[in-house]
Amino acid sequence: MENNLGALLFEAANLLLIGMGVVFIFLTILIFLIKLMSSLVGKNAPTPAAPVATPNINRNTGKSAQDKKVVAAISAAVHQYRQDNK
Amino acid sequence: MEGLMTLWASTGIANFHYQQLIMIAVGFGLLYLAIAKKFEPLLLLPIGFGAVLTNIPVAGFSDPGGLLYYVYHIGIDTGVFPLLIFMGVGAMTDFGALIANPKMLLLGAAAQTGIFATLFGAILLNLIPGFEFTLADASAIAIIGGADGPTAIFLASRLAPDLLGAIAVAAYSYMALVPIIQPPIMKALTNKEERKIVMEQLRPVSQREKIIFPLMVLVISLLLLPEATPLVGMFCLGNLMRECGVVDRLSKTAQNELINIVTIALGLAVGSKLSAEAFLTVETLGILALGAVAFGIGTACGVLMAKLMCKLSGGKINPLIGAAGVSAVPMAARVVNKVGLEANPHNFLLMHAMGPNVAGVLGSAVAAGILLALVSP
Repeated sequence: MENNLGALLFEAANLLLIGMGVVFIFLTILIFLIKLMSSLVGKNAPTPAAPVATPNINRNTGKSAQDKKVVAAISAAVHQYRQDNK
Repeated sequence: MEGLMTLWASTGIANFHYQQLIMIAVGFGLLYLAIAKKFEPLLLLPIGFGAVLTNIPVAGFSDPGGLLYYVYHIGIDTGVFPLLIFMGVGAMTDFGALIANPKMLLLGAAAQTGIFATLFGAILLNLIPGFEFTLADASAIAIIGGADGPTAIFLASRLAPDLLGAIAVAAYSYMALVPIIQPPIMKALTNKEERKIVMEQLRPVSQREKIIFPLMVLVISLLLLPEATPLVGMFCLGNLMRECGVVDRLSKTAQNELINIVTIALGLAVGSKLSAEAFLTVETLGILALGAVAFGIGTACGVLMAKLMCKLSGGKINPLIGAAGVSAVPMAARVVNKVGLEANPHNFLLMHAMGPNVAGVLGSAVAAGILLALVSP
């Protein structure tokens, strides 16, 4: 049992070294690849923010156009009221 | 009279063993945690209910022919459910923060130390009488330190199916406990000045980079670590569907309907492993203890690595974000944000913590691949 435990612990130590080594190597390679990719395609590529922004602007203008109509209607009514009560 | 006796013999009351009663109480306990305490309710609720169902005598939910037997066989024996969940998680993950600052991958790697360090703990527990963990068992337990539910279930189903119930419950409970476990460790390892560090704003990331990223991860993992490709591959598929912009319908299904359906079935199947004979052992206590240790070590190593990077970068990196390296997306990143705000009310670290957070998901999938490659059940 003692021997067995020693062997298991040795294997665990082995796994710790190999495992952490591979995790670090894998992710370090990924860091370099991301940097490489970003320098290749990242610069003049369109950012995803642009297409999202467009519908927002549209909706805003739609809203403000409606707002203008409401404002116009209210001011016309106020004007009428004042005219009537002069 | 004989008819009455037969009827009595077929009631639940006559057939209960006290262990089954304890397990049903455990099931109700999980339901309580899910409903009243909101601990990972999406999973603990079906798991808790599954635990109640599987311990009902006579009904035989988990015997060959029973509902839970089939759900378990179809989804977990084959490894299909955790992989489908991983695809959904991929479809929900935005790698923007990571692509903008790729160094964060190192934090995701450092936090995986918790997994491998726990291997020792699990094997040392064999010194206590009553524990007999093999290397495969120890590996399956250690992956709890990856703080990633589907990865833990996938690895446990491959390496130690007998311990799956306890491992899944431990993994999800500790993920729910992240806001309690992590802050003391984070505060102990950093000083107030470090916690106040404000980080530079991240650059915007183009759609093209986001599309190439999952493909790149897939290619590296199939070249270097094919054993990790079931997990990494499904994750990348989900992420590609999200980012490519031409299959929005599939992406929405993967991150909503599909992941919800699979979550129900996965929870029930995990619950079916909470039978009295498998759960009421000293080993379960050991697994729960080791899970907490794994989490703590992972958090500490992430923070220490971030401190090192802070020193090397001349104080541009807030060491707190290292704690997000243990996946647990997005809970760990939120905890980092909260602890950062306590030190400096104008310092929002959430986006910066998302980088190490998603790096942690990749890191634990890679770690799981290594364990699968090197340890055989």
